[in-house]
Amino acid sequence: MVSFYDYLKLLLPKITNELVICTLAGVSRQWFDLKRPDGNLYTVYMAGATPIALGLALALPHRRVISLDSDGSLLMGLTILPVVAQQDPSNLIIIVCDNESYGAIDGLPTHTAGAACLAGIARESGIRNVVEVKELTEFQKAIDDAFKANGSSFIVAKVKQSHQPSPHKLPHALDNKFQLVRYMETTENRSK
Amino acid sequence: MKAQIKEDFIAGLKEAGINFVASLPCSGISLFLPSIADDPHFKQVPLANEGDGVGICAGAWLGGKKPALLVDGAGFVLAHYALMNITYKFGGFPILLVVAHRGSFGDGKAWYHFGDGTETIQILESLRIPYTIVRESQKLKAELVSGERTAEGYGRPAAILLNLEEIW
Repeated sequence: MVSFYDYLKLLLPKITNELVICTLAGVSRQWFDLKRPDGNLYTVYMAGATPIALGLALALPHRRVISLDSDGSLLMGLTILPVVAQQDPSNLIIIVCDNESYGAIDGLPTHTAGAACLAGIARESGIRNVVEVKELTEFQKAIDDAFKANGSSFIVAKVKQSHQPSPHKLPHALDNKFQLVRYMETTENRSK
Repeated sequence: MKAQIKEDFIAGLKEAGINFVASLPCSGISLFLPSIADDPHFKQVPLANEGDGVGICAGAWLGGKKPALLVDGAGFVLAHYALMNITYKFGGFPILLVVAHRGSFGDGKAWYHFGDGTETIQILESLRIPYTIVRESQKLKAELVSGERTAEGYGRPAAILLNLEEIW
């Protein structure tokens, strides 16, 4: 099975002025290794990445926003999915790193290791473009489709449990927030 | 009376510059929601969980909107986790919180809200969120404007607690 880091390496060339909101732990560390700091918010709290990404996407309909979420984080906040479905912004892409475990907690299983299926939950919540991928070629097609989709996209990337070693220290969330604010001021040509 | 309160509430939000509203209905704010939904000045996002509204409003603010979160006390307690995180991790985001404060002093008929009515105050104070309690409807509009100015000025949430018996 593929590592999430390998999936992210395919996402990286697609990024120009997209805004990326990352859930905490391994997802943030792996994206930070590949892309920083402009346009990214790392180490968002559990169940927080996709709500923040949705708010950004609705506020900036001309700008693509990507939520890098995880199975544990999303399972804690499934109530966001029908809200995404109802709002359905085409500029929102949710990519879920589903390693079927709490990666930061010794890999203990989440409910997706059992019978729960995040793609099924998202689909039945009403999200229009839902796909689950297990291979790099499938992921490449999924993100290519998501970048031109009508309506929000939800990609579940099944990954093996892995801890990508990172030589880098994530920025403090407070610094990161103001970095993003300054970046938004510049790229959206406005002042706070 | 209700019509005047509704008019003042919408006018107060507009005067405060609020243009993005995340909400979940309850008896204390449902009076306002249809008017917000029908008014193109506002982008309204109906929620299924008040905690999601905190993140949605934070994202909207990053995107240049002036957000408000309209919830009841039980929902506010549910949103505590998200508010704690944006406060302690990110130093807060300017979000105007409008909370229907059922179960507060004198609201004995809503005994089932006594828990969230009481805990709402504790949570606001524990997170150092500035707040005011609006008991007189004629002050509503001005307090909404003050609340937004507080949130934007301090860069963190500020709360308006609605104790308006006329709309319960």
